[in-house]
Amino acid sequence: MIIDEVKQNIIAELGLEKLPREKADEVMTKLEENIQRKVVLEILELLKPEDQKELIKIVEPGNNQNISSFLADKIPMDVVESLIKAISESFVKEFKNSVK
Amino acid sequence: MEKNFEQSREEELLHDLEEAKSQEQVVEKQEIPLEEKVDVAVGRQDDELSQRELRHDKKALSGLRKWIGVATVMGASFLAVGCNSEKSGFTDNVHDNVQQRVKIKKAEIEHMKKTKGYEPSVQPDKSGFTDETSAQRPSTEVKTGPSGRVSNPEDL
Repeated sequence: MIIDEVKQNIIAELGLEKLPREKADEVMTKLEENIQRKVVLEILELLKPEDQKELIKIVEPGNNQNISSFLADKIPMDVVESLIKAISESFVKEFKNSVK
Repeated sequence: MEKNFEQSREEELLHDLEEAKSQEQVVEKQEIPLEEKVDVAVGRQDDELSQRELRHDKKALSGLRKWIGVATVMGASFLAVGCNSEKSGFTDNVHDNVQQRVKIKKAEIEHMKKTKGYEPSVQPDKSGFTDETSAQRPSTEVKTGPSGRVSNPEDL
C-alpha cells in the first residue's frame, strides 16, 4: 500500500501519469536499474586499480557482508550516500528534461 | 490561349505549394507520443551506461549490482530519492556536484587518515595550558568563591 503510494508519487513527479500503468511501471523499473548501474560504475571508479582487482575476488563468492566490509574500508558510507543521492537526482532531472 | 494556359498552370502550382505548406504544418504540429519519448530517454541512458560498463570487469559489475540490489529495500527507492530532491529544488550541473562532493570527501578522508594516528607531543599541565599557550595564562591565580564567581579583590 505504502509502496504503491510512493510509486504513484514518482509517476506524477516524472510526468508519466498519461502512460498506461503497466508502461509506467516498466519505465520506473528501467530507470531504477539504470541508476543502480550508474552508482555501481561510480563506486568502481572510485576504487584504485589494485582495489578493483581485490573486489573481483570478493564478489565472486557473492557474500554481501564481505563486499560491504571491503567497500566500507575503501569508501566511507556517507560518500556512497552522497553519490546515490546525486546520481538519482541527475537521472530524474535528465529524464524529465527528455520527456518534456 | 497560351496566356490562359500559363495562368492556370501558375494557379495550379500555387495551389500545390499552399497544400504542401499546410501538410508540413500538420506534421510539425504532431507531438511525439510520450511513450516514444520515454523509450528514447531510457534507451539513451542505457547506451551510455553500456559503453562505460565495457571498460570494467563483468564479475565486479554484476557482484556490485547484486550487493546494491540487496542494500536497496524498496524497488523504487533510488527514484524516490531523486524525485524528493527534485522537489526540494536541485541545482544545475549535477555531474559537477558529484565530482565536487567526491573531491571534498576524498580530502576529508585524507585528512582523517593523517590525523588518525596523531599523538599530541605537547601535553597540557593541570591548568590546561601548554608551553605554547602559556602566554595566555593569567598573571595571578584566579580565586573563585563557592558559587564559581571570581573573588579576586582587584577584579571587583
